[in-house]
Amino acid sequence: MDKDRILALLLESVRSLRRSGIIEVDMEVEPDTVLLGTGSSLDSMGFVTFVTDVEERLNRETGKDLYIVLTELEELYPGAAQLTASMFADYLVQLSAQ
Amino acid sequence: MTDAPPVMVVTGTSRGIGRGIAEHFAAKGFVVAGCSRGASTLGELAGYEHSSVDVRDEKQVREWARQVKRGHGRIDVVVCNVGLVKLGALTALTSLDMFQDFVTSILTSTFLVCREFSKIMSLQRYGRIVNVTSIMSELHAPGTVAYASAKSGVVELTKVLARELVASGVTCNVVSPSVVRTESSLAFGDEWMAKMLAMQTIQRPIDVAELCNIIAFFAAPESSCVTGQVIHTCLVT
Repeated sequence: MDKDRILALLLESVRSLRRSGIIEVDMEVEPDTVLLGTGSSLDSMGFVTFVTDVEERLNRETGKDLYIVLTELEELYPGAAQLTASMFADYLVQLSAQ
Repeated sequence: MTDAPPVMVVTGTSRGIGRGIAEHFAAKGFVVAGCSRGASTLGELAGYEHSSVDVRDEKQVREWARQVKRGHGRIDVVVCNVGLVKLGALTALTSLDMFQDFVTSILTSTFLVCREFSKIMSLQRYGRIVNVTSIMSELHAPGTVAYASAKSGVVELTKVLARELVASGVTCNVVSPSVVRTESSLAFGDEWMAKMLAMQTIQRPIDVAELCNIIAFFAAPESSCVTGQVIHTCLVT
Protein backbone atom coordinates (compact mmCIF):
# COMPACT_ATOMS: atom_id res chain seq x y z
CA MET A 1 0.00 0.00 0.00
CA ASP A 2 1.28 3.48 -0.75
CA LYS A 3 1.47 6.28 1.74
CA ASP A 4 -1.45 8.26 0.31
CA ARG A 5 -3.75 5.27 0.62
CA ILE A 6 -2.61 4.67 4.17
CA LEU A 7 -3.22 8.29 5.14
CA ALA A 8 -6.70 7.93 3.67
CA LEU A 9 -7.17 4.75 5.70
CA LEU A 10 -6.17 6.61 8.87
CA LEU A 11 -8.78 9.25 8.13
CA GLU A 12 -11.43 6.59 7.45
CA SER A 13 -10.63 5.03 10.81
CA VAL A 14 -10.91 8.31 12.71
CA ARG A 15 -14.23 9.12 11.05
CA SER A 16 -15.60 5.65 11.69
CA LEU A 17 -14.60 5.72 15.36
CA ARG A 18 -16.05 9.20 15.69
CA ARG A 19 -19.35 8.14 14.08
CA SER A 20 -19.70 5.20 16.44
CA GLY A 21 -18.90 7.35 19.44
CA ILE A 22 -15.75 5.45 20.33
CA ILE A 23 -13.65 8.60 20.13
CA GLU A 24 -15.05 12.01 20.76
CA VAL A 25 -12.59 14.18 18.87
CA ASP A 26 -13.32 15.36 15.38
CA MET A 27 -9.97 15.61 13.66
CA GLU A 28 -8.68 15.69 10.14
CA VAL A 29 -5.73 13.46 9.31
CA GLU A 30 -3.04 15.41 7.50
CA PRO A 31 0.56 14.25 7.29
CA ASP A 32 1.59 16.56 10.13
CA THR A 33 -1.36 15.70 12.38
CA VAL A 34 -0.04 14.61 15.76
CA LEU A 35 -1.48 11.24 16.74
CA LEU A 36 0.48 10.68 19.95
CA GLY A 37 2.31 13.12 22.18
CA THR A 38 1.92 16.82 22.86
CA GLY A 39 -0.64 18.34 20.54
CA SER A 40 -2.56 15.15 19.85
CA SER A 41 -6.35 15.30 20.03
CA LEU A 42 -6.43 11.63 21.02
CA ASP A 43 -5.99 10.56 24.61
CA SER A 44 -3.99 7.41 25.35
CA MET A 45 -6.98 5.06 25.21
CA GLY A 46 -8.23 6.78 22.10
CA PHE A 47 -4.87 6.18 20.47
CA VAL A 48 -4.87 2.49 21.43
CA THR A 49 -8.38 2.06 20.04
CA PHE A 50 -7.42 3.92 16.88
CA VAL A 51 -4.37 1.70 16.33
CA THR A 52 -6.45 -1.44 16.89
CA ASP A 53 -8.99 -0.27 14.33
CA VAL A 54 -6.28 0.70 11.83
CA GLU A 55 -4.72 -2.75 12.22
CA GLU A 56 -8.05 -4.39 11.37
CA ARG A 57 -8.52 -2.17 8.34
CA LEU A 58 -4.98 -2.78 7.15
CA ASN A 59 -5.47 -6.53 7.35
CA ARG A 60 -8.79 -6.38 5.53
CA GLU A 61 -7.35 -4.26 2.77
CA THR A 62 -4.09 -6.17 2.28
CA GLY A 63 -5.49 -9.63 2.96
CA LYS A 64 -2.44 -10.20 5.13
CA ASP A 65 -2.03 -11.04 8.79
CA LEU A 66 -0.18 -7.98 10.05
CA TYR A 67 0.43 -6.77 13.60
CA ILE A 68 1.11 -3.18 14.56
CA VAL A 69 3.73 -3.41 17.26
CA LEU A 70 4.13 -0.14 19.13
CA THR A 71 7.65 -0.98 20.26
CA GLU A 72 8.65 -1.17 16.58
CA LEU A 73 7.45 2.42 16.22
CA GLU A 74 9.64 3.42 19.14
CA GLU A 75 12.59 1.72 17.49
CA LEU A 76 11.85 3.43 14.20
CA TYR A 77 11.67 6.87 15.80
CA PRO A 78 13.87 6.70 18.90
CA GLY A 79 13.38 9.61 21.27
CA ALA A 80 10.62 11.19 19.19
CA ALA A 81 8.31 13.28 21.37
CA GLN A 82 5.44 13.00 18.92
CA LEU A 83 4.07 10.54 16.42
CA THR A 84 2.59 12.25 13.39
CA ALA A 85 0.28 10.70 10.83
CA SER A 86 3.13 10.83 8.32
CA MET A 87 5.49 8.93 10.63
CA PHE A 88 2.79 6.35 11.39
CA ALA A 89 1.97 6.00 7.70
CA ASP A 90 5.64 5.40 6.83
CA TYR A 91 5.71 2.58 9.37
CA LEU A 92 2.51 1.12 7.96
CA VAL A 93 3.88 1.27 4.41
CA GLN A 94 6.83 -0.82 5.59
CA LEU A 95 4.56 -3.17 7.50
CA SER A 96 2.16 -3.70 4.62
CA ALA A 97 5.08 -4.54 2.33
CA GLN A 98 6.06 -7.51 4.50
CA MET B 1 -24.92 -7.48 22.99
CA THR B 2 -26.57 -9.56 20.31
CA ASP B 3 -28.78 -12.64 20.34
CA ALA B 4 -25.78 -14.79 19.49
CA PRO B 5 -24.40 -16.84 22.38
CA PRO B 6 -21.86 -14.87 24.41
CA VAL B 7 -18.23 -15.69 23.72
CA MET B 8 -16.05 -16.44 26.72
CA VAL B 9 -12.30 -16.88 26.57
CA VAL B 10 -10.78 -19.06 29.30
CA THR B 11 -7.10 -19.77 29.82
CA GLY B 12 -5.75 -22.96 31.33
CA THR B 13 -8.61 -25.30 30.50
CA SER B 14 -6.71 -28.57 30.50
CA ARG B 15 -7.44 -29.28 34.15
CA GLY B 16 -8.52 -27.99 37.51
CA ILE B 17 -10.39 -24.71 37.86
CA GLY B 18 -10.02 -23.71 34.21
CA ARG B 19 -11.45 -26.96 32.99
CA GLY B 20 -14.36 -26.63 35.38
CA ILE B 21 -15.04 -23.06 34.26
CA ALA B 22 -15.07 -24.14 30.60
CA GLU B 23 -17.46 -27.01 31.30
CA HIS B 24 -19.76 -24.85 33.42
CA PHE B 25 -20.15 -21.98 30.97
CA ALA B 26 -20.35 -24.19 27.88
CA ALA B 27 -23.26 -25.92 29.59
CA LYS B 28 -24.83 -22.50 30.22
CA GLY B 29 -24.86 -21.73 26.50
CA PHE B 30 -21.67 -19.74 26.15
CA VAL B 31 -19.25 -20.34 23.32
CA VAL B 32 -16.08 -21.05 25.26
CA ALA B 33 -12.76 -20.49 23.53
CA GLY B 34 -10.29 -22.19 25.79
CA CYS B 35 -6.61 -22.83 25.70
CA SER B 36 -3.82 -24.74 27.27
CA ARG B 37 -0.32 -25.58 26.19
CA GLY B 38 -1.35 -29.01 25.03
CA ALA B 39 -4.30 -30.61 23.34
CA SER B 40 -7.82 -30.38 24.70
CA THR B 41 -8.77 -32.64 27.56
CA LEU B 42 -12.45 -31.81 27.16
CA GLY B 43 -13.21 -34.13 24.26
CA GLU B 44 -16.15 -33.12 22.10
CA LEU B 45 -17.74 -30.79 24.63
CA ALA B 46 -20.53 -28.84 22.92
CA GLY B 47 -19.85 -25.13 22.81
CA TYR B 48 -16.18 -25.54 23.53
CA GLU B 49 -13.34 -24.92 21.12
CA HIS B 50 -9.73 -25.43 22.03
CA SER B 51 -6.48 -23.81 20.97
CA SER B 52 -3.02 -24.91 21.97
CA VAL B 53 -1.49 -21.70 23.26
CA ASP B 54 1.34 -20.97 25.63
CA VAL B 55 -0.01 -17.82 27.25
CA ARG B 56 3.48 -16.88 28.42
CA ASP B 57 4.38 -16.29 24.78
CA GLU B 58 3.56 -12.84 23.46
CA LYS B 59 3.29 -13.85 19.82
CA GLN B 60 1.08 -16.86 20.52
CA VAL B 61 -1.32 -14.80 22.64
CA ARG B 62 -1.53 -12.10 19.97
CA GLU B 63 -2.33 -14.66 17.29
CA TRP B 64 -4.86 -16.44 19.48
CA ALA B 65 -6.73 -13.21 20.26
CA ARG B 66 -7.02 -12.44 16.57
CA GLN B 67 -8.11 -16.00 15.79
CA VAL B 68 -10.92 -15.88 18.36
CA LYS B 69 -12.04 -12.45 17.16
CA ARG B 70 -12.10 -13.60 13.55
CA GLY B 71 -13.94 -16.76 14.42
CA HIS B 72 -16.71 -15.15 16.42
CA GLY B 73 -16.67 -11.45 15.59
CA ARG B 74 -16.70 -10.45 19.22
CA ILE B 75 -15.45 -11.43 22.65
CA ASP B 76 -17.71 -10.86 25.63
CA VAL B 77 -15.83 -12.33 28.57
CA VAL B 78 -12.21 -13.19 29.30
CA VAL B 79 -11.35 -15.35 32.28
CA CYS B 80 -7.64 -15.47 33.03
CA ASN B 81 -7.25 -18.52 35.13
CA VAL B 82 -3.99 -20.05 34.05
CA GLY B 83 -1.45 -20.53 36.77
CA LEU B 84 1.23 -22.76 38.02
CA VAL B 85 0.07 -25.27 40.53
CA LYS B 86 2.93 -26.69 42.50
CA LEU B 87 4.17 -26.46 46.02
CA GLY B 88 6.50 -23.60 46.77
CA ALA B 89 9.24 -23.31 49.32
CA LEU B 90 10.33 -20.95 52.06
CA THR B 91 11.78 -17.76 50.63
CA ALA B 92 15.33 -18.74 51.58
CA LEU B 93 14.91 -21.97 49.68
CA THR B 94 13.23 -20.50 46.60
CA SER B 95 15.47 -20.39 43.57
CA LEU B 96 15.38 -17.48 41.18
CA ASP B 97 14.21 -19.87 38.47
CA MET B 98 11.29 -21.04 40.58
CA PHE B 99 10.29 -17.47 41.48
CA GLN B 100 10.43 -16.35 37.87
CA ASP B 101 8.52 -19.43 36.78
CA PHE B 102 5.59 -18.49 39.02
CA VAL B 103 5.67 -14.83 37.99
CA THR B 104 5.81 -15.65 34.29
CA SER B 105 3.13 -18.31 34.45
CA ILE B 106 0.71 -16.28 36.56
CA LEU B 107 1.39 -12.56 36.20
CA THR B 108 3.03 -12.23 32.79
CA SER B 109 0.49 -14.52 31.15
CA THR B 110 -2.39 -12.53 32.65
CA PHE B 111 -0.80 -9.30 31.41
CA LEU B 112 -0.43 -10.63 27.86
CA VAL B 113 -3.95 -12.04 27.67
CA CYS B 114 -5.52 -8.92 29.18
CA ARG B 115 -3.51 -6.65 26.90
CA GLU B 116 -4.49 -8.37 23.68
CA PHE B 117 -8.13 -9.10 24.44
CA SER B 118 -8.80 -5.73 26.09
CA LYS B 119 -7.85 -3.98 22.84
CA ILE B 120 -10.58 -5.92 21.07
CA MET B 121 -13.05 -5.20 23.86
CA SER B 122 -12.24 -1.47 23.79
CA LEU B 123 -13.00 -1.33 20.12
CA GLN B 124 -16.31 -3.16 20.54
CA ARG B 125 -17.13 -0.96 23.56
CA TYR B 126 -18.04 -3.91 25.71
CA GLY B 127 -16.28 -6.56 27.70
CA ARG B 128 -15.94 -8.38 30.98
CA ILE B 129 -12.52 -9.39 32.23
CA VAL B 130 -12.44 -11.69 35.23
CA ASN B 131 -9.07 -12.67 36.61
CA VAL B 132 -8.71 -15.59 38.98
CA THR B 133 -6.34 -15.15 41.88
CA SER B 134 -6.25 -16.98 45.16
CA ILE B 135 -6.95 -16.50 48.82
CA MET B 136 -3.28 -17.41 49.19
CA SER B 137 -2.51 -13.77 48.55
CA GLU B 138 -4.31 -12.98 51.81
CA LEU B 139 -2.98 -15.83 53.91
CA HIS B 140 0.69 -14.84 53.76
CA ALA B 141 1.48 -18.47 54.35
CA PRO B 142 5.10 -19.57 54.58
CA GLY B 143 6.20 -21.19 51.34
CA THR B 144 4.04 -19.07 49.06
CA VAL B 145 6.41 -16.20 48.34
CA ALA B 146 6.38 -16.74 44.59
CA TYR B 147 2.78 -17.87 44.16
CA ALA B 148 1.18 -15.30 46.46
CA SER B 149 3.30 -12.44 45.12
CA ALA B 150 2.34 -13.27 41.56
CA LYS B 151 -1.34 -13.57 42.45
CA SER B 152 -1.23 -10.25 44.32
CA GLY B 153 0.28 -8.75 41.20
CA VAL B 154 -2.74 -9.95 39.24
CA VAL B 155 -5.03 -8.05 41.64
CA GLU B 156 -3.12 -4.81 41.07
CA LEU B 157 -2.96 -5.39 37.30
CA THR B 158 -6.72 -5.85 37.25
CA LYS B 159 -7.41 -2.66 39.19
CA VAL B 160 -5.16 -0.58 36.93
CA LEU B 161 -6.84 -2.08 33.88
CA ALA B 162 -10.25 -1.35 35.39
CA ARG B 163 -9.41 2.35 35.56
CA GLU B 164 -7.97 2.38 32.04
CA LEU B 165 -10.96 0.67 30.46
CA VAL B 166 -13.85 2.10 32.42
CA ALA B 167 -14.80 4.58 29.70
CA SER B 168 -14.74 1.79 27.10
CA GLY B 169 -17.53 -0.23 28.67
CA VAL B 170 -15.11 -2.91 29.82
CA THR B 171 -15.12 -4.07 33.44
CA CYS B 172 -12.24 -5.85 35.14
CA ASN B 173 -12.67 -7.81 38.34
CA VAL B 174 -11.06 -10.53 40.40
CA VAL B 175 -12.33 -13.71 41.97
CA SER B 176 -10.19 -14.98 44.78
CA PRO B 177 -11.16 -18.50 45.71
CA SER B 178 -10.31 -20.29 48.89
CA VAL B 179 -9.04 -23.83 48.42
CA VAL B 180 -10.88 -25.37 45.49
CA ARG B 181 -11.48 -29.07 45.18
CA THR B 182 -9.35 -30.00 42.15
CA GLU B 183 -7.08 -32.90 41.36
CA SER B 184 -4.10 -30.61 42.04
CA SER B 185 -5.21 -29.41 45.45
CA LEU B 186 -6.12 -32.94 46.47
CA ALA B 187 -2.71 -34.13 45.29
CA PHE B 188 -0.98 -31.87 47.79
CA GLY B 189 -2.14 -34.21 50.51
CA ASP B 190 -4.23 -34.15 53.67
CA GLU B 191 -1.68 -32.32 55.79
CA TRP B 192 -1.42 -29.41 53.34
CA MET B 193 -5.18 -29.31 52.94
CA ALA B 194 -5.79 -29.22 56.71
CA LYS B 195 -3.26 -26.44 57.17
CA MET B 196 -4.82 -24.31 54.44
CA LEU B 197 -8.39 -24.87 55.55
CA ALA B 198 -7.51 -23.97 59.13
CA MET B 199 -6.72 -20.45 57.96
CA GLN B 200 -10.07 -19.98 56.21
CA THR B 201 -13.50 -19.21 57.61
CA ILE B 202 -15.10 -21.71 55.24
CA GLN B 203 -13.19 -24.77 56.29
CA ARG B 204 -13.92 -27.01 53.36
CA PRO B 205 -12.63 -27.06 49.82
CA ILE B 206 -15.15 -25.33 47.57
CA ASP B 207 -16.34 -26.71 44.24
CA VAL B 208 -15.58 -25.05 40.92
CA ALA B 209 -19.33 -24.53 40.39
CA GLU B 210 -19.40 -22.29 43.45
CA LEU B 211 -16.59 -20.21 41.97
CA CYS B 212 -18.42 -20.04 38.64
CA ASN B 213 -21.33 -18.42 40.43
CA ILE B 214 -19.09 -15.43 41.21
CA ILE B 215 -17.62 -15.38 37.71
CA ALA B 216 -21.15 -15.36 36.28
CA PHE B 217 -21.95 -12.32 38.41
CA PHE B 218 -18.94 -10.38 37.12
CA ALA B 219 -19.53 -11.60 33.56
CA ALA B 220 -23.17 -10.56 33.41
CA PRO B 221 -24.09 -7.61 31.18
CA GLU B 222 -26.05 -6.27 34.17
CA SER B 223 -22.81 -5.93 36.16
CA SER B 224 -21.66 -2.89 34.21
CA CYS B 225 -21.37 -0.85 37.42
CA VAL B 226 -18.94 -3.27 39.05
CA THR B 227 -15.28 -2.87 38.21
CA GLY B 228 -11.95 -3.09 39.98
CA GLN B 229 -13.43 -5.33 42.65
CA VAL B 230 -12.15 -8.45 44.35
CA ILE B 231 -14.44 -11.12 45.74
CA HIS B 232 -12.84 -13.56 48.14
CA THR B 233 -14.96 -16.60 48.78
CA CYS B 234 -14.35 -16.28 52.51
CA LEU B 235 -12.35 -14.51 55.17
CA VAL B 236 -9.04 -15.66 56.46
CA THR B 237 -8.85 -16.43 60.15
